Amino acid sequence: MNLHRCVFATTRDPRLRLTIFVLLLGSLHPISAQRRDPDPHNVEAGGSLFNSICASCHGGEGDQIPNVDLGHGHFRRATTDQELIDIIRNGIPGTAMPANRMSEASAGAVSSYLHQMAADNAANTVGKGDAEHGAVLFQNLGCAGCHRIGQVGSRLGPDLTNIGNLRRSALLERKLLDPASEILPQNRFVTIVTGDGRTVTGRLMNQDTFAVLLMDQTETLRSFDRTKLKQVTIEDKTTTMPSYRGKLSEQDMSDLVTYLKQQTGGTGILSAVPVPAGGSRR
Amino acid sequence: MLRLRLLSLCSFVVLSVPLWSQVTSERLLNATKEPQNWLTYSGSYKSQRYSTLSQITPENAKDLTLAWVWQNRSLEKFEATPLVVDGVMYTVSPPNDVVALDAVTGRVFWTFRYDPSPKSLACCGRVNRGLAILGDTLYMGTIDDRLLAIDDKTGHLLWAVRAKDAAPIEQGYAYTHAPLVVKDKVIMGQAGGEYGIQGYISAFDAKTGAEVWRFNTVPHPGEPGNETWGGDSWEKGSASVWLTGSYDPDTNLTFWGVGNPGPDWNGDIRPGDNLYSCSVVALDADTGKLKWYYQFSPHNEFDYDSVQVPVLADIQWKGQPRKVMLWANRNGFFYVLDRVTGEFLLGKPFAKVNWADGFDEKGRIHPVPGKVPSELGTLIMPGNQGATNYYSPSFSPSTGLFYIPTWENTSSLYVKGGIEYVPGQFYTGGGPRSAGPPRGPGNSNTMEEGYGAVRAIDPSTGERKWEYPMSEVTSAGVLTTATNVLFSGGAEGYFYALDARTGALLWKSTVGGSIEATPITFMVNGKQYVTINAGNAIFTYSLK
Repeated sequence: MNLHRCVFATTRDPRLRLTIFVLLLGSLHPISAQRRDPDPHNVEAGGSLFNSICASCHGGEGDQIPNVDLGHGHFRRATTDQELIDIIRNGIPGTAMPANRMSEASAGAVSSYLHQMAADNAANTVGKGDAEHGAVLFQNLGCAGCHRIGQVGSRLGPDLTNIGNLRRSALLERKLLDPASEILPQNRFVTIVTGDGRTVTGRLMNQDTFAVLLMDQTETLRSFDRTKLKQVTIEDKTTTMPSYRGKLSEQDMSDLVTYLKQQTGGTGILSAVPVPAGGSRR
Repeated sequence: MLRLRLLSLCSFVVLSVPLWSQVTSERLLNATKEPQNWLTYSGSYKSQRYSTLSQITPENAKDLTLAWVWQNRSLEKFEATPLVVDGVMYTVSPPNDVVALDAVTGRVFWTFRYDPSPKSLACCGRVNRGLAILGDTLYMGTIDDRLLAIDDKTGHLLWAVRAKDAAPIEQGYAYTHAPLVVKDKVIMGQAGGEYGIQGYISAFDAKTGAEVWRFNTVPHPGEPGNETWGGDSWEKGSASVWLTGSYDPDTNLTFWGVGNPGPDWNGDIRPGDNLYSCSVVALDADTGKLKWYYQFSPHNEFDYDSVQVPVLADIQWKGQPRKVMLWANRNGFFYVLDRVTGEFLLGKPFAKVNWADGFDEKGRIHPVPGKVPSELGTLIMPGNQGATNYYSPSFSPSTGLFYIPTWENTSSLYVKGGIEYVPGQFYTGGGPRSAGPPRGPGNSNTMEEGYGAVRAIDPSTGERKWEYPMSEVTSAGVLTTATNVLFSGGAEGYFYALDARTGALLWKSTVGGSIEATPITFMVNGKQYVTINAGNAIFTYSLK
């Protein structure tokens, strides 16, 4: 993830953009923050927060900001967990690291997640496989039936064009084994039943008190008067993505994940992550 | 088993994406045959801003009612014309955010956010006039001089390019107009007329973004027309392009209006006619080669950009059918040209002018001696913003009339100033001053001090048929329909419908903000809608 894009992602104030710039002061300190044993609930919550707030600048692996490698416990300033929490909450004035509105507990959860990430990465072999074979697997498994990379594949499922920048290898593996774990709100499906009994399922684009907007199975953008629908069900805990548990060897899994990690957008700074209006908040 | 499960859901998509949802180049060629949609900036390649939809009539226009409003989050001027494709409206919130709306309710499907470089330069607002579409891809030019391709279903960025060896944007290059898609190419011209750029028009491959041809609006040494720039003045000749052109498939020509020469208000450094500034150029759509041109204002020193929409019409000319181009120019004259050959057929003022008084037999305008910028300022009519500008005129085949959003009784004192080129700064050599007293906080002007109007002109004679005057000038374009309803607005904050035959007011809505764009009309599920930008919002109306 290019820093230029990252700076813009944090603020729309043009003056701020001109002045905020991360200066590479000094060399990297591979200082590990003092460890705590991570609480699994915290790790999951922290991961959620990390992916939705931090990854857009730091990258899914936490290594997209020069000299900051969150995924391996390398921090430039924090030497303790409390310092890490303070940085997460207060930002670093004069740099591109903004303050983030979150509680002490939430920042603590992110910190736990970072520790887990470092531990996973130390032990991890997934992501060091054969990407070429991974591409073959991607095709043979029919992934393009739901996912899109570049201009090939379905638009219904999460777009994977830039997935390598957005998700850690360990998380990609987890999703392949347990697809219903952590479905991002913008990737939720919705099923509606119209007044005359027709069922339409599709990707939820937006909704409000009076409208449901979705992309249907033919990738057509459709809008429905909510007050005329018999039923609206947002699928926030289930997914049609199958699990590959027991269906891929360890090597195949590694190869597939390695291939996915190579999908990094291609347009660099100009990769804009589209923001579905409103999101799926219910 | 696994694969069958997948096939049962998502793979269905790959097999059954309906082809009707794709905007093919065939559909663009025949855009007038699907009046329920609005597929290009001007509605169709002839750019008449005319619709054959007939549900709204002079009799029922009084029953128009607000269907929805959408507000953007920008304080820039909202100049974009939206596209409507099969019930989805696409538009640009300035400078470069793209939004897809349900055209019936105004609710948002998706938003694409783009943060242009802070180094981008624009003389007159960080604006954008809209999108083009081909297949499932939307195209937008950005204020930091990139052409973007965006997926129309998801708002994902597909690619972003600059023209080959494009100069740094710090020198003033930018894109502000809606691209024009012709066959498999996306055509864009460079804005930056106040920065001493070297203007050009590019065609990009619609799939890959590769630049496939270029036409220099300031010819380079060795190119015809370079000799009309004394010395090295061509190097900062400007001649920008900032409005969407038109296309004639019969001749395969694409027509573009070109802006002022640089420096704008002091021509001493650039003796000669300064081609192709203040001209219309007719280019082969496949190669970009120039087939003909007509220069409206040679060696212009009044900033009379000929950046207006070229309107193509087939009319009777002296008893014979003729393929013409109708042009109401910023310089105050209305023109009829033969669009096949460029032959000058008619030139006649449509507003008060004092800087020129006629044409020679070849159609070259005759300036009035002494009407040039001076140190103390020379009073010129029309003023710097012109008798009309970028906002669209309309031609109605139903009435046979040409409708011009007009500024009347305006003038500027043109002051000649020194010339110094500094990259990224205005290279203009002086400037216009207001001729009258400073304006009051409210509008306390008389009509003699300037007003706006919609004027209906008979194109075969240039005679005015009627005028609908407003108290304030206008940056609103005109839309006409087959049922003879005309829609327009002005700077005062009204959007209205007139009888296109007489100019009689049929209906108005107080939109409360200046209209800086042109209306469109479309139909979804058998209901006709009319849409206009006003202030920072989109207003859409239909019959009760």
